[in-house]
Amino acid sequence: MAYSYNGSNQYHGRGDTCGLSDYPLSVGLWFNNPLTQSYSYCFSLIRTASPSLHQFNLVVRSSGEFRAYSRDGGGASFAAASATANADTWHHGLAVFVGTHDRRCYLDGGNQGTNSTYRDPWEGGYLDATWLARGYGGQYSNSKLAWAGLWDAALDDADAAALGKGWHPTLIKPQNLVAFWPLGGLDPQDPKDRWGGYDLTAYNAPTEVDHPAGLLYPQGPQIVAPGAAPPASLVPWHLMIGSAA
Amino acid sequence: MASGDTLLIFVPQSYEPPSSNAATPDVRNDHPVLDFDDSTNESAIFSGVLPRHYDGGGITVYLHWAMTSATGGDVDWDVAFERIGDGQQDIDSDGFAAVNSADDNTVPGTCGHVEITSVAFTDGVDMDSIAAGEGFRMKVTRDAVSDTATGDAELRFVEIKET
Repeated sequence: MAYSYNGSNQYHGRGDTCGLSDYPLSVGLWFNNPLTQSYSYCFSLIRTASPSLHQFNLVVRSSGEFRAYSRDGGGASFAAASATANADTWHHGLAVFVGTHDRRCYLDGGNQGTNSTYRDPWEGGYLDATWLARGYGGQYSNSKLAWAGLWDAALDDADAAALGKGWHPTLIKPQNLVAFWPLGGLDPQDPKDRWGGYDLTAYNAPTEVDHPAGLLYPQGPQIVAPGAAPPASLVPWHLMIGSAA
Repeated sequence: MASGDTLLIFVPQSYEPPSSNAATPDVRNDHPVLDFDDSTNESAIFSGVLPRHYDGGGITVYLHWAMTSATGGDVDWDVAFERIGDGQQDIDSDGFAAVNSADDNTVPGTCGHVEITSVAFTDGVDMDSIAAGEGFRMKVTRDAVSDTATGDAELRFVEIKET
């Protein structure tokens, strides 16, 4: 299961920035959006105190455009992926904030868009919250969200491609993975961080919905037992105990 | 346990990316694979515990791989083991034994066909003296600097068999 948000007051959040305070950082998640909101805020690192100008955001627009925003006291700048999302379809979005002059946005593992306008959400040390499905100015998201990951590194094109093909975030630069919120699937249905301990709190009861299909989970080695008997269904009947030879 | 029996099988989702020059996870027609670059020596690490039924002999590692696009040239593979064991390895550092290589493996003539390449290890220091029941890591590296095939090599399975 994933989580669905109502676009008006439901979100997950916590009151810090998961230990991050500088560049680079990357945020990736799966989203499924009806494309009915002008701005649908899927993720934010944000200043909660007024004026809430400083933020990093991942936003889906009603046009299907997926944007990676940096906001500071001087305004907002964004990188937009070169392809657009379809309504009611699972997509992978990745935002990479390399520095004050370099932000990148990917949709479905590619379709990179970039932006180099100076913006510095970290300036002043104001950021104090991490939100899923909530953003700037009391805006929210009516998306379904799953597998949100936060890295303290600039993920590259190959990383974006792997995530877009459904690879598990813990297999992508795990040395730099700060937080991973599965939001269900084969993991428990809750907003806990299964990697760094940065658990989120649910506000106004986001609802459970089906997780995206076809994702690639980590898998341990297969141990092959010695001389293991084949399953009963594969044992020829005449070799079964009590059977006639 | 008889020689020739399979001990462990790893799939791409079992991999642990090293901090630098890691093979890249990919998907080919719904097959998870690990892509190894053609110009930089990239690696994938797999961890496991040598099963208790391992009988103390040598082991052979079988690499199942295909090429993303090439239908000519050759690929070189290196494999090395690190015994973690019981008080054997400080996991704050790496302790891989010397690599064993399988060089000049001809690329399949049909793109998408999977080649199986074997890399043999004798019991003892060659496999870092890993014993039954001990934890270990195995590093698989494409020696791309030395081989001739162009484009990525895609690792699909790894089998460890008692030789």
